[in-house]
Amino acid sequence: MTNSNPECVEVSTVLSEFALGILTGRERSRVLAHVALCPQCRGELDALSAVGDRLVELAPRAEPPVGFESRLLDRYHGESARQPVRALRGVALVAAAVVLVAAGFTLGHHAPTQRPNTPSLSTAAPISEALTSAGRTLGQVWLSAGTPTWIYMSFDDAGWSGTAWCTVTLKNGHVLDVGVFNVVHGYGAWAAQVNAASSAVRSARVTDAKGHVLASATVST
Amino acid sequence: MRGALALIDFVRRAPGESDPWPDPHRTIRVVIRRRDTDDEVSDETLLSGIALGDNEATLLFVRRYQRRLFGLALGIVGDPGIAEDVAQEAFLRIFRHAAVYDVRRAAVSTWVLTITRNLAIDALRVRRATPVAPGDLVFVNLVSRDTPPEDVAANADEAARAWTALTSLPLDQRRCVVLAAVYGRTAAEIATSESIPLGTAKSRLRLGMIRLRDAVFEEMP
Ligand SMILES: [Zn+2]
Repeated sequence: MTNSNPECVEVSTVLSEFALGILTGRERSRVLAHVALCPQCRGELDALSAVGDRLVELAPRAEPPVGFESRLLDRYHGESARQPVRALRGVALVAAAVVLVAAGFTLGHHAPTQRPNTPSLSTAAPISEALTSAGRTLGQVWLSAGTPTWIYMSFDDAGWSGTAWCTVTLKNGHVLDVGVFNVVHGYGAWAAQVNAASSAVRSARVTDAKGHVLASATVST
Repeated sequence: MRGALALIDFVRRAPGESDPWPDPHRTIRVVIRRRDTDDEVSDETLLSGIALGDNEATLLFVRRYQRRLFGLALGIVGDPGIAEDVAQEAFLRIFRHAAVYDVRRAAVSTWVLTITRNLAIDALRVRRATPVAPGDLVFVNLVSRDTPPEDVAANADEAARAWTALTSLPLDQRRCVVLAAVYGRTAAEIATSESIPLGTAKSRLRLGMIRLRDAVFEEMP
């Protein structure tokens, strides 16, 4: 670094420690305050953090004890069935849960039924709609609750092969290109993340390369 | 709901095709990368499946990551029982937040390993007054011997490059960097365990991290 700003020089001596999450107290606060205002040090911090991530990825693997998988899945399903909000800590997470649950409940008549008294964050109801063409169901589209939302679609025996283009229309009228995927002998499945809230999605549409609509789904609200 | 399972079925059903998943619109990530291997479904797809409540996706995700999460946790806490608790808690956190995970923020592997590392370091700080001696830390021993950790050699280019960069550091810098980046040891803790002055620990750490940053990023655009 050739930066001669004395504050940058001072921060640079502890930036690695900060990037690795081992700096505490006043030193930590000082770095935080500085990088908030200094793009150069922020760039350096990002690079050092990425190095830290790579090092963690190198950590040796180890076989977990017998029964690890089933104990974990038991805990997970037990938790989903009970009150997962119990496990949330902090206002921000509770807020996120509220958003997810709200999205799950206010959208989609086709959303899997969920008892209002047992909202589940991890399985917040996805919205599911049929992808249809001229009244015939060709496939299915799912939207996960939350922002950004996952869009997932599958085609079953759609009767054609080729490249499919997916767009999503939001309630405010904006159209987002979500991506391109292939349908082979009528079958295809694909997922992508859409940079919008699931609650903002009005419809999804699949077209061929020439823009002809192959199938579409309207999200009921 | 068929969720990710349908996706996997489809992928298996269409062998011999040239890659049916063309590059996506650049605002999204297409989710299928490879076929005919364990990695045929991407981490992002599995997360989308988890967010949608798909049990198959959850199971595949656990099988893909349990050795890495448990290995990292075990390396840090040094006790299989605590390591299992940590790895399970990490998985549960990942499941709860799968729906709000943003693929643009970080690679899935980085995200899940960071969660695990931080939980393990927290667990260690809560449960033990004196941390494990570096002589008992598997990864510190590995980097002290120039032997790549299991799986690294056959792993992604990125990991191999990070490993090469790490082992090209002077031994004392290597140990400091791994103690801090993987095990979350502070400079003061490293000074104590390595029997060196605090200033020396801090400068070894800083110099090591800067050299790694240069090595890891020099070949990147
Ligand atoms: Zn600066």
